[in-house]
Parts: sequence; C-alpha cells; structure tokens
Amino acid sequence: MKFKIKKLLCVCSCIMLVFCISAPGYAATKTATGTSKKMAFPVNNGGWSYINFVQTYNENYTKPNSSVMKLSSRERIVVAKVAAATQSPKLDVVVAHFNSGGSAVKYFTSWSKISIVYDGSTYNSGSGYKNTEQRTYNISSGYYGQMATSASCSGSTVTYQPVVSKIYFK
Amino acid sequence: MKKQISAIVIAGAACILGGLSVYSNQAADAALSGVGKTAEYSDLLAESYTDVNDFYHETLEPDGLSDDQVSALENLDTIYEVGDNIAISTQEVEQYTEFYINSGMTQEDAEAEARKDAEERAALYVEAIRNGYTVTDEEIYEWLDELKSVLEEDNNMDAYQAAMSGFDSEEAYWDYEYQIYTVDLPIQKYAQAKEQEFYQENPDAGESDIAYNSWYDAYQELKAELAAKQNFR
Repeated sequence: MKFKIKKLLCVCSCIMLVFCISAPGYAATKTATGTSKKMAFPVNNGGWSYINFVQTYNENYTKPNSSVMKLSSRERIVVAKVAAATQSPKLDVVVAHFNSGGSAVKYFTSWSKISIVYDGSTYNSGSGYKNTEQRTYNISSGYYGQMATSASCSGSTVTYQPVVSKIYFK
Repeated sequence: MKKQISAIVIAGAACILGGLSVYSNQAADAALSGVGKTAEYSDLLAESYTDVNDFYHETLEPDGLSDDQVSALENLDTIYEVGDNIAISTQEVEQYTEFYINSGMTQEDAEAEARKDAEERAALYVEAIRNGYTVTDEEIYEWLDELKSVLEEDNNMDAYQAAMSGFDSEEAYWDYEYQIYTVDLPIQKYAQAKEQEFYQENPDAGESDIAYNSWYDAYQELKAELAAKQNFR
C-alpha cells in the first residue's frame, strides 16, 4: 500500500511539473541569428575593405494566456572582424517591432551594455546590449521583431543590403 | 507504472525544450548595389593610375625629409604637396577626385575629400613604417590569396568582377593589387594593432554604441591627427 502511495505521489509530482512548465505565464526566450557573409567594399585607392559580422537577437517573453504575448526585454549582440587600411566600414544596428503589414510600431533606442563572450581569434570586437521596455501583443495579430545591421563604407560606391533577423510573436 | 512515469518525464522534457524556442538563421542574403560605378572607376584606375603607389616608396623618409629633399620634391610637377616624412603625388589626388566626381560630388567637394584621403593615407603609411609594420613579399601574397578567396564568395563576386573589369586580365588586376598592398598592408597591420590597443585602453568603449563603432570614430580622429602632424605644404 505504502509503495502504491509513493508511486502515486511520484506520478502526481511529474504531472504537476509538466503542468507548471507548459502552463501560460512561464518566461522564455526566442532567438534569431544572422551572418554577414563578409561584405567586401572596393575603396577609392584601388584596394578593399571587408567586414564579417554575426548578430544575435533575443526577445524574452511570457504568455499570460493563450492569446497574448508579453515581451519583457530584448538583447542585441554583434561580433565583428574588419580588415581595412584607410577606409573602414561602419555598422548601423536597428531593432524594432512591426505589425503584420510591415510598418514599424516601436523602435528601441534605449540600451544598456551587457557582458558577452566571443571568439577573439575569429572576431576583433563584440558588443551586447539589453533593452527592458515592455510590450504586449495579441498572438494572432502577426506582429514580429526585427534586428537589422547594415555596413557602409564611405570610400566605396558599393552598398549591401542589411543583414536581417526576425522573431515572430506567436 | 514505470512506463507511465517515463512517458511523463519525456513529455516534461519536450515541454522544456519547446519553451526555449530557438529560431534558426533568418538573415537575408546580402545583395549589393553600386557595381556600375565600380566598373567605371576600374576603367580609370587601369588607364591612368597604376603607378600612384610608387611615390610612397620613392619619397618616404621615416626619420624626416631634409630641407634639400623637400625643396627638390616641391619643384617637381608630379608632386601635389610635401609632408615632414613623405610627399603626395598629383596623380593620387586626381585619382581620388575622379572617384568622388564619379560618385556624384561637385568638383570642389571632390577635391577637398581627395586631398584629405591622400594626406591621411600617406600619414598612416609613415606611422605604420615608423612603428615597424613593414611587410615582406610573402606576407603580401598571403594576404592577396586571402582577399581573393573573400572576393570569390558569391556575396562579393559582382563587386570583384566590376573592380577587375577595366584591367586587361585577372593577372594584370592582381599585379595592381600587389602594388596597392605594399602600402595598404602595413597600414592595415598598424590599424589592427591600434584597434586592439583601443579596446584595452577603453574598456567602457561601446557603452552607447557598439564597440567597433567607437573604434571607427577614434580611427577617424587618429587619421586626422596624423595627417595634421605631417604638416603638408
């Protein structure tokens, strides 16, 4: 009898554990990454400047019920390697939320620096930032978040499309 | 019962993994524009400006040009201006001016930008050599191999083809690149060393913008300072 009670308690504990984990309201993270594939810029002295970077975009969220997603904070990380002489490329990072029609509903401009770890033998520099503005969206509305990083080089006529990482809020 | 417990534990693990949604790479492939202007500029480079880098080696004096050397250089029609350690050719300034005009600038603005670029490149080269960042032929060829492999990636192929289009052959183009990197590779090595030094000396770099952009801004200042230090006249 004692043994059966123990088994029953064990099963109940497991059910509770699964319920707690899958129940609405628990915190989780969605991540999107993107790689630049080395953007090479022909520069005015006849040489080249190139940049290679990887970006990571996280959105931290909870789902208080089945129709709503509460976004509590987000992180953006860029690690880069540059090979350039006189004309260096520059990076521009934009993080924003968009509605299903592709119009921006919120640009995030207030960021605090966070510590990151990156491979110093592959990349020269790396930076991570966190924004803690809260946003709430209806899951069925098709909203999404996007991190876009563009590289430009003032001594070059060549321009590249930005690297874009998207997270859908559903 | 054991099987039931195992099933529940597996289901629980699946929920945990499901909760930590990891989205795969959704980056758009980088596409480029501006290759038409690069091709036009390549024609100009191949036609008129393949000897520009010779002046760097011919006029550099790491310990400083003597008064006699300065006077002699100032009397040459091929010299645009002379600094404390190096001279800038008229041809180089014309080359950069053509670049900026080709990019849509007015003649006056193009000349001002061209002069700035030529002075900064010359000043950086002086500083690189003075700090021991010389290069061997082997290092240049090694770098050109690395550069070629980057340019042959799908992403860069159009820009590479455009940059090469004005030259008679691929070999002629890489011979030209060799000449450029006799000057640019020492500068590149110097810039990389200064970049690492910058991050070490400025642990707070990147407080408001990414650390690399802080270095970018610092490098613009460094170039201007070095050019001013050359006292070009």
